[in-house]
Amino acid sequence: MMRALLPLLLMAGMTALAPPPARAEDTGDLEGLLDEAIVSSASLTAEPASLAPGTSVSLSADELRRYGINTLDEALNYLALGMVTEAQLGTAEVGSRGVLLSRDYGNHVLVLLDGHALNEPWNGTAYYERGVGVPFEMIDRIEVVLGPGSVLYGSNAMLGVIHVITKAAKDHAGVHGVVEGSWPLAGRAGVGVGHTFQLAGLDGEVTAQLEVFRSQGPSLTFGPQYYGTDSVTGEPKQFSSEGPGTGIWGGEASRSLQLQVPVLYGRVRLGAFELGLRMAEFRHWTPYLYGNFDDPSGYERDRWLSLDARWSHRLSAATSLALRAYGDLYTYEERAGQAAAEDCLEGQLKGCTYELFGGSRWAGLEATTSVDWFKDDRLVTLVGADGRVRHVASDDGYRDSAQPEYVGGTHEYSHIDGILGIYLSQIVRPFSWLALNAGARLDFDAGFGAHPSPRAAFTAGPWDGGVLKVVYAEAFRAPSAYELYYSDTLSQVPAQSLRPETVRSIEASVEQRVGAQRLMAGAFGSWWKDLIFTEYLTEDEKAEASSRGELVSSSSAVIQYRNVAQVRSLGVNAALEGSLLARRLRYGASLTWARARQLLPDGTEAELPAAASWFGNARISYDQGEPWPVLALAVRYASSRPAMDSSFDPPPRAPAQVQMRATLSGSLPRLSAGLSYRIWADYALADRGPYAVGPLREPGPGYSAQELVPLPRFQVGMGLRYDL
Amino acid sequence: MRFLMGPWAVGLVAAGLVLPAPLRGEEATVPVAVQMDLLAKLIVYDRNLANRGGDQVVTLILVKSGHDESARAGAQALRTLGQKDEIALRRHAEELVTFVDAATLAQSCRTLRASVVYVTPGFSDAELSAIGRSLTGISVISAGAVASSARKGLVLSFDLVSGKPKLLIALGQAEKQQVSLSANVLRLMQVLP
Repeated sequence: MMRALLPLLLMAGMTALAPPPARAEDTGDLEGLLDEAIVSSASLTAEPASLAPGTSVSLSADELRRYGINTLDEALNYLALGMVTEAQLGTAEVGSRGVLLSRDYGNHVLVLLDGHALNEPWNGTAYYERGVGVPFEMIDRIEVVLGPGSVLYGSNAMLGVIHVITKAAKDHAGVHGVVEGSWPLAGRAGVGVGHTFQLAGLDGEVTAQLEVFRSQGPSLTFGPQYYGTDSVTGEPKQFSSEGPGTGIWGGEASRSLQLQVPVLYGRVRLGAFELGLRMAEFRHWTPYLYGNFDDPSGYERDRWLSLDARWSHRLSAATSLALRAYGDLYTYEERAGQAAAEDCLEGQLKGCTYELFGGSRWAGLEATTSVDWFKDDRLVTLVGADGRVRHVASDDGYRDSAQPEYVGGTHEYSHIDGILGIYLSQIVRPFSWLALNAGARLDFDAGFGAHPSPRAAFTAGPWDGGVLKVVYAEAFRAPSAYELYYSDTLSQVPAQSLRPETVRSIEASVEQRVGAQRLMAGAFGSWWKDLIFTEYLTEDEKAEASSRGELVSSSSAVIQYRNVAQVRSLGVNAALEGSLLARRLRYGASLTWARARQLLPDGTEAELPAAASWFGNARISYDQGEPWPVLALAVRYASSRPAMDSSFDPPPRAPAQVQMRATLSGSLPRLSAGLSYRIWADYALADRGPYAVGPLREPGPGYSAQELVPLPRFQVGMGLRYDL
Repeated sequence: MRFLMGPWAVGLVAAGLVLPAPLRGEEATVPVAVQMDLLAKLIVYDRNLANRGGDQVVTLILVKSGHDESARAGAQALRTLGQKDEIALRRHAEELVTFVDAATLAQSCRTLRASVVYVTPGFSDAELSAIGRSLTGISVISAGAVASSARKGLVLSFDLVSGKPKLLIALGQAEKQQVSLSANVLRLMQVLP
């Protein structure tokens, strides 16, 4: 009964939303087909998103421009289904389907750029704001695959996979220049090129873009928080290297919130061979995270150099082969001034500068072969192997402010290892309306042996325009080098026998297309185990560590990375998108609700800090036709969520966030052919985010409420682009 | 980085330059199954469809002998169309046709009363141009799997832009082949002269 009713109910609902048939021919069905995204990240084969073995969304270059999107985190917040980011001032954290693991440096999502993994092995770090380091005009689309993706990609793909795919030369032809500025003060300038050519009888193309982004500010007010005296000197604690200590943290932060991101990305293709090069730097700092308050000399700097070479060839009508070789260099530097003696090594009474260096180099080779046994997509087998060699190294130390002596090596490490992943995927399409996809990947790591990541997906289209999908998948994250090897004799002992984190997920969805309108609804559940968190050592454990020489006897609070946490998330999501009025009016919306809880050792549950249980977005745009601008409005919502890093009980909550972005875009042919513009304005209702700031994290005299990170509420910007 | 400069990497480059390889311009960027769905939807709007083939839509799937990509696309197209209950509310038949020359193709179109000719990847610019000339005056929709086909002699072709399928139509060739689409439909396509 329900099988018969369900499609009727869905179609009735969609029909109610769809416009009445015009007297002229109704092109809704054709529009619907043209509006369906073709994705490739979920299965490494091009297919409609509705048929992919996982919930997949594709954010097009047109949508990014139309809605005034400037960064990957904005794209996820305003346009995507199921993913949400939280701003920490300068960097963003990412979560999916109710699970956000704060302070994970983005290492639970795998970020790819044209198939090249951006997560580095030292800390698994991937960035989601300007730090992703991709020239925005080169982006053709961003594919987001929700849920475990280790079956094809290995480690890190636990919350999902984000694949940034850049334009082919035909879509980026010519020379391009872009200049953008915004307030609070930020500016971006870039120049790019796209060109097709023929060489030695082979088709070739080149695309490249160089751009630089800089921002300073905004000016934000923190505190004041009355901390008191330095435990070493007995004097009022210094939170700045300028002037005497006052024991008070906070003030107007106007100098240290700065970003600088130069990026060069290019690809060259000749025949079946393709070469890619990426050079990027992400220099950033925040007023409150480390070291002195609002110290302009402090910084974190990530640098990347990536090379990717690939070759693909069809061996026969049934078989194809692809080879890829890649290499990366990554370095991280942190420099944090600390004026207080209690934040420095013994004897550094005038303060110090903490310096952290981390880096990794890796190179690998991946081979993938696909066999279409009947040559008609009915039975396709994909087999691949990806092996790489990695070197990671790190060191940190304290530079005394009173004298140039650098005390390093409180810990340092350097390790070389190799990893190998072998994957197999089998697709069966016995009928036009049915597809089965099953696969697994086996990852070998010297640290934990072999780890399997299976996936099974069932996709059926039993009625016109309808798709049912059920997917089970597992994924893992290997412990990062930082988690495995970092220690110092003051506050952290080495980890022992860390296992990979794991997640199991199941999801089911139904999608209905009626003409140019599309509705999707689904439910999901994910179970996380062995999450790596830091735990405080007991007194007995500290004594044992001291006896092994891992701790100085005076150490007080000491932590260790351990596989200690479990999380469970259950929820639902829905999305609606479509177009009306001959595609001049476009709209979309998505909503996710999840009940995500950390399961504690005593049997109780706790909300995940910074993770919203309700979040979503809505957008609408209207193309008035030349010479008038395209009008667009996008709105995002995230419910109230508990704050991170506070010892208040109950933990403070950041208010629900509603953020709106209005954009005008269009061309200026009267001024110059090829000249286009974009103007945007962004307003956020909430001025606080879910992160505790300042030295006070628990109630005390005169401090009864945790201070949360302030957020800029208003931003306006304008950009000009010239395409020659 | 030395890893990349090893002998195997040099071999990789050499293989890519030397071995016969499907040129990027010859690849179908939109999955063939999606192309067939689009084609089946689009021909409904052709005002002259009723004058071709009567109550049956006949599709000739043109493959190039010895070309792997062409053979694969042809098999996929044949299967996708074969699984449809109807096309444009009509009975339908599909046939794989191996390309001999443009004149033979044109004769086949007349003989079989073809409504659609679907040209798989693997055809040179000269061959596409010859096909276009030979189909002039014949009431038939010619559609190419490769995006550039519509610029080289065919009426329609399929491209992928920002992850979405795009239809390209050569209006001049469409007129020569008596393909008539309304402005309402043409607005959904990239129109070439």
